[in-house]
Amino acid sequence: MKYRYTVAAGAIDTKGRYTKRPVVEVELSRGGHARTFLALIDSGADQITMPAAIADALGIDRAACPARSLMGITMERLDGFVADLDLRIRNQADVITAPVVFIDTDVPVLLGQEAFFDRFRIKFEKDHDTFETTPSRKS
Amino acid sequence: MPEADSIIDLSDVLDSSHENKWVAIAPDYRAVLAAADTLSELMRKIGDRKAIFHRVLPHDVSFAPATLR
Repeated sequence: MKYRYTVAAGAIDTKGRYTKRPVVEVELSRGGHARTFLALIDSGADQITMPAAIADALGIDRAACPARSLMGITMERLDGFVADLDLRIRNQADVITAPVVFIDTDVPVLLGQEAFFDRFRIKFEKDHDTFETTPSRKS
Repeated sequence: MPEADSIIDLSDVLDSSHENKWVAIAPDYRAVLAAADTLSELMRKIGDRKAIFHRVLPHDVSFAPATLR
């Protein structure tokens, strides 16, 4: 399925043009709770990463989850935890169950390498303002 | 080749008042249903209504979230 890059509100690039990002709607669910978020496809992220507030909203008990630390571009270590969520990308029939690293920041939902790029072939065509996600046959 | 979705221009519904906030956008992207400083507060405001949740970044920064090993 092809998607258009999304124009980020107010953000301007170094040339003064609107910034566009590879963003897609994703429905997150667990245990009968479901919410839809805009998620940034981030090939540089090792895992799918989300704010811990989403885990709280979906009824995940963080005390029962394995700990995992994460380091971002500022090179500061952030403590987090891991739990599985069900994800369904807009206009994709398949639901995938994937491990998610939750951290206590307001980071946007990031769709990273493990479980997302493993399960979808992602083709970025920024020169056409489009990107394509295709379910991978590899399990 | 499948058709691409139409382009979503968040600047049509979001402005500077939404920077650094969580927003709940209507499923047709034509309106902001609610905004809040925290996601939990926003979810309380929205209740069971259908919405698309989004964290609005500051407008005057570049974003580079990639994690480094």
